[in-house]
Amino acid sequence: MNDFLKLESVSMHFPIRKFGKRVRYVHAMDDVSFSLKKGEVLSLVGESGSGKTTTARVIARVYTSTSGDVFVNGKTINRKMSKNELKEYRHRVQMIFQDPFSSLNPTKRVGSILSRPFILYKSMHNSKEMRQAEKDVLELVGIAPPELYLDKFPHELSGGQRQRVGIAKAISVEPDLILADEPTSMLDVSIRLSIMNTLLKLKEERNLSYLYITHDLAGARYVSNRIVVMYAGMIMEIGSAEDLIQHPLHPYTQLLKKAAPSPETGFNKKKLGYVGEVPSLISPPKGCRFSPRCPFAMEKCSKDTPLLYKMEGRKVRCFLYEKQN
Amino acid sequence: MNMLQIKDLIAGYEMEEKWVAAVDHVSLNIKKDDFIGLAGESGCGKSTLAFSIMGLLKKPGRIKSGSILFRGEELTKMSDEKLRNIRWRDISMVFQSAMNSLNPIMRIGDQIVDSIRAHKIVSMEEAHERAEELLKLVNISPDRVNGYPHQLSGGMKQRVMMAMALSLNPSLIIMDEPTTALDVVVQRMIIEEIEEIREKLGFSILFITHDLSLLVEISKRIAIMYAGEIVEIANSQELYLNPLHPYTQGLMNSFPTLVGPLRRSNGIPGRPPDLSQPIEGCRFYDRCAKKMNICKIRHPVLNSVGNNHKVACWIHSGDEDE
Repeated sequence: MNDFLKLESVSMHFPIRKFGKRVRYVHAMDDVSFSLKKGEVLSLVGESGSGKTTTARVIARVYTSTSGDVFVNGKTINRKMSKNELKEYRHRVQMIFQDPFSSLNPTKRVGSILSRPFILYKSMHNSKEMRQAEKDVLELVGIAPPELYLDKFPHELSGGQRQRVGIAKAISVEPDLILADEPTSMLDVSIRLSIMNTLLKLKEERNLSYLYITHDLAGARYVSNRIVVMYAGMIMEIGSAEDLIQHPLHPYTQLLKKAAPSPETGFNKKKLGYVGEVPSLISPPKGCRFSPRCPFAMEKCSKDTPLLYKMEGRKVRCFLYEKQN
Repeated sequence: MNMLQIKDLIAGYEMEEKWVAAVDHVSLNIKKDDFIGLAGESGCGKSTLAFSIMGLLKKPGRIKSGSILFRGEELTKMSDEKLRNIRWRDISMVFQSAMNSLNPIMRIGDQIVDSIRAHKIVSMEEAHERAEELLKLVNISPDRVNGYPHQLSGGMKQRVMMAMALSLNPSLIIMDEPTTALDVVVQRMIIEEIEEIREKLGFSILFITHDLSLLVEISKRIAIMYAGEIVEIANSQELYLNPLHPYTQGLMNSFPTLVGPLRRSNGIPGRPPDLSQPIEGCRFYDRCAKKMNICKIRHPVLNSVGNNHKVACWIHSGDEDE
């Protein structure tokens, strides 16, 4: 099957200017390559500063990558697009944001918020038709009865409902790819699962693809087919969700798994101890970026950058797996 | 012996002609050396309870009735002056958005010194020495004393807040979602540190969070709060292995697991009730999958089911009188 989305060694360096001169760079993304098929959910997992959100923004054309290329439907997006092309692209690729409390315009009613994509991308102007379309899409994301909510303001809704409106906005124009940036992290635990279920249901019904960004390994396991683990701007491991979580190969993935709360693995767990913190991306560590914190670090780890070595159904950026290659 | 004894506490907010009972008839005991977790959704009254204990509930919030005894002394009726002597020295708090509670234009050391000198008469030198000592305790190198908050990572800022809370050797620290804004790895490290320091210094912790999966691993006892009430309380393992209240069961099923079979679940449908309206029966009635007739009419109270386990649910209390 064809890859719907493909990233080919994409890097994104943000300049830091001093008196107008570019003096240093923040290496937010380095050599990031992965692909996403139609109807697939791919999770980007990592801590803050790992480059997850930058990746989504490069795909959404918010940033233009420093090097590398992004292909959507076989066509590069790193080119000058005409107004119409750009509109079409934004029609196909939609985003769901992390914070449902600030991503909806507080002065607009739900109906008005939902009408924008219909006007912009579907040139819908008949108000009766539009109202019906708004109701349908609200129902689809599990807000019922929709009549009751169309005239409400965002502050009258709960966090979960607001996030559902955000999802409704994204799916209303029938996109192919949705970039979901931590869509549940600001919500109460009790409603996270139902939001994830709604996303999964919509995916089944509409053959959508998701790039699901999260820092929660267990959540990634719940929603995704494959997982990409990022650390300090680089991909550390790619694999199928279940396999990667049950048998993490990269020491960083192992650390993530160990740190995640999981009472089901028993109570008297071994302690993690002090394992250091995420490095600065202005001057990232030489060699493997995880090497200063890695318990298995060898001499060459701090000199050379490991490649993504292919293992069975997996790719791992770690010298431990160099020989098996 | 109970260090802190909360009995029948009713606290809430006086809105325009409405009373919002954010904390309703809550009783809770905290012993010396205790690590008790308080879990529930947002708006369930966890933070209101914490602020009530600290005597920090500001208008329109107020404590309506009930008592909070700290070492036998009634906190709810104490004068501000006396309360200030207990606050921070005996009971301190780590706030929710601790990372933003540091003054951005003041050196870290000075901020710790300030918090010490506001509550205790010590010399400047002594306070500075103590500040360095405290930073060491929370795994920050003491030469950061002259650093500013923006030079620290989120995790380190949180550690500074902990150092401040520890500064006067309190016997109880209330932690209101101290790790929610942090990354998983940092969260795990800080929680391990908290436990280590607690074992060393022997204070008690009231740990407030909505993340039950984390709480189950770290605390000794857990109280589950829903719509202003404590609906279940038990030792952590007991609660995890044998949750009795349908709400607790729902919460337990709301976090995806890392190992074992992948179970599909729907979380808990619906949302908590409006606390400004009087509710007769069980507050969880509308969302409960196991509701019975009695639940709508009569309000269940916390009932012991043995094994240090208490639950407020009609399924587990039969028809006994209150």
